[in-house]
Amino acid sequence: MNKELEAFIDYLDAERDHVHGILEGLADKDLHRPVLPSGWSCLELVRHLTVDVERFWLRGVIAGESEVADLFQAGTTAHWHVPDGMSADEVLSDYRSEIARANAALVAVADTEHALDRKPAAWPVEIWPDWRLPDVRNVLLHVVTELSCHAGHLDAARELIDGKTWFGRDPFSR
Amino acid sequence: MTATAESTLQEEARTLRRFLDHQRRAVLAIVEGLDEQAWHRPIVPSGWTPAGLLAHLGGAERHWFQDVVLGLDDVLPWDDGRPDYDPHAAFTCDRPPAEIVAYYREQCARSNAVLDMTALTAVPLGRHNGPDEDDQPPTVRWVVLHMIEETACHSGHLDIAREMADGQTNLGARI
Repeated sequence: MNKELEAFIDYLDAERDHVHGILEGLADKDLHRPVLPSGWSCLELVRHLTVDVERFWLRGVIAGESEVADLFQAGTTAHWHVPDGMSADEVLSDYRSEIARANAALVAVADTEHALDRKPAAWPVEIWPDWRLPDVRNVLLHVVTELSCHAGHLDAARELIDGKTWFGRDPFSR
Repeated sequence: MTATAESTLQEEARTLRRFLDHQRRAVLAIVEGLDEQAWHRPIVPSGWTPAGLLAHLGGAERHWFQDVVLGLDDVLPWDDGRPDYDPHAAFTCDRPPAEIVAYYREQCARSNAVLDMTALTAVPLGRHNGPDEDDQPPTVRWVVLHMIEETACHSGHLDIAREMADGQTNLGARI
């Protein structure tokens, strides 16, 4: 694999494992309840990661998949909610499925030499007519940082729920 | 190396550096104006404090770019009276916020100096002292990506600390 893409996918996977790991063992009621004054629940954040981050940026922007292009009208914060009738297990398994689809899309479009220098396949001009991330590399870095930051939010939420932490993990133990 | 491969590598280095700098600025923006008592007050059961987390981030910059990439092991005045790094101990630091911010900024500047003279494809000269001796970053690229990820993740912790301290959110503008 392209060495740069390989590193990106490895880091994305590590942070996705972090998200799953820090939520492991939480009861449904704790996954659903707001923990902080700003009012979001852990599952709402996972929906945001699934749709607004993974699906939007990786399949929508980098790969330009037409079947997810409707997200470009919705914006990047439209999915901070759990759809009616969707269980905690379904939210978490949908996140896993989306990760698999996103990785497959990345390998399909970005696993060639200099692929990360290219413009992303699509851009949501409806949301940002003037601003854009110039290449695939910038989009991947945006996703790595957004995902890592939200994993940090979940760490703190978990600690506030039952004291469990994700500290002390070694970044190069895979 | 072909001219195109060289220009890809330079573009990659510029972009990584831009994102890393942006995350560092986000961290500093989140703690800017935080009440001094709140710097030293744990907000979660494990006991980490914003002061400890920022000191930890300074230590992480130093470890990854100076110890691991360059293989150095400098002693700094900062180390006097500071406990050895323990990844399982809560991050705390009883020093004044201004001193911690200065330490962090200094380590970031040193990291940038290392990055200015090191190719992303270079193999680190030092070792990372993790739980398994074989788990090492293969190239400098992996170190920079790790530092971006680690800074972003801790900025998420600091977001929550700030919200719990005085209700402010979204202080760290990000790309």
